[in-house]
Amino acid sequence: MTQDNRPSASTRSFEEKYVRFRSPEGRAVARAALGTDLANGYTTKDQAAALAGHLGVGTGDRLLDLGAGRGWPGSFIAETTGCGLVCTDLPMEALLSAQENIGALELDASATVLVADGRMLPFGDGVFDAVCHADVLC
Amino acid sequence: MKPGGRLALLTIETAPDLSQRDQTQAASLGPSAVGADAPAHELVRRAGLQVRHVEDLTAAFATTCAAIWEVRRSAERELRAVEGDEVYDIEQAKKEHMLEGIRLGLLRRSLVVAERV
Ligand SMILES: C[S@@+](CC[C@H](N)C(=O)[O-])C[C@H]1O[C@@H](n2cnc3c(N)ncnc32)[C@H](O)[C@@H]1O
Repeated sequence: MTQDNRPSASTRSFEEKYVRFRSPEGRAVARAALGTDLANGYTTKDQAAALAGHLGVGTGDRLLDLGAGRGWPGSFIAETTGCGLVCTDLPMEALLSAQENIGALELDASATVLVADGRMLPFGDGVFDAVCHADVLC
Repeated sequence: MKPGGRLALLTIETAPDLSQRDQTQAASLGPSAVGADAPAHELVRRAGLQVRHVEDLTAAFATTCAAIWEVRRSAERELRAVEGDEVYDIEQAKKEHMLEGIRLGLLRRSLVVAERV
């Protein structure tokens, strides 16, 4: 059986959206409406803070942000709680922004990004202390 | 996830117990992936996690969705230049459909927190 490794239409559409959102105009929209220019869904900064509380993570814990886009809300949770972070998604454009932001927050030592399909994750069982998943099926 | 580890899931979904007709309308107004055969908290439970908290965030979702629409409209000229007319119109229409789905009680946004026991 041959496997089709081409990005799906949905991944391509997200990729194009992330390219557009790289513009100052695109980022300004997210910042004004959601309180952060990293978000590409409907998760506001206040909701990201609430998620951090629900997850109860802290220093020494490892969080997986599944379908993280530009690293939202994972990078906020890592920044505010001190937990380690792995951001996964499919469009490279989004993950490059996530990586850039991780660098800007000086989280490089404890956070990383990875291209991975949420339906087939390259992690063993029991690696993460918490998982967040914000608007991934949209 | 480790035992005791937590999952926090934020998702847009159809309202519960819709008629077939409303379900179809909800699917046409919402994002492409709404329309699972069960609410998110039920899917999480079926995956073997213990659901600890379910919260309806639809009111905040409506506010955010309207805010995105409005901010985009106020930057319409700049966004049309960056995105092109077609994309601009599609993105605005998506938000309008979503708001209509919320107003009709067909779409909601939920937070589900669950734990691996
Ligand atoms: C609406 S965006 C939300 C991104 C981010 N969580 C946020 O709140 O800004 C949905 C994201 O889910 C990702 N996604 C969808 N299906 C996926 C899959 N099977 N595996 C990994 N990521 C996926 C998309 O590429 C996109 O970046």
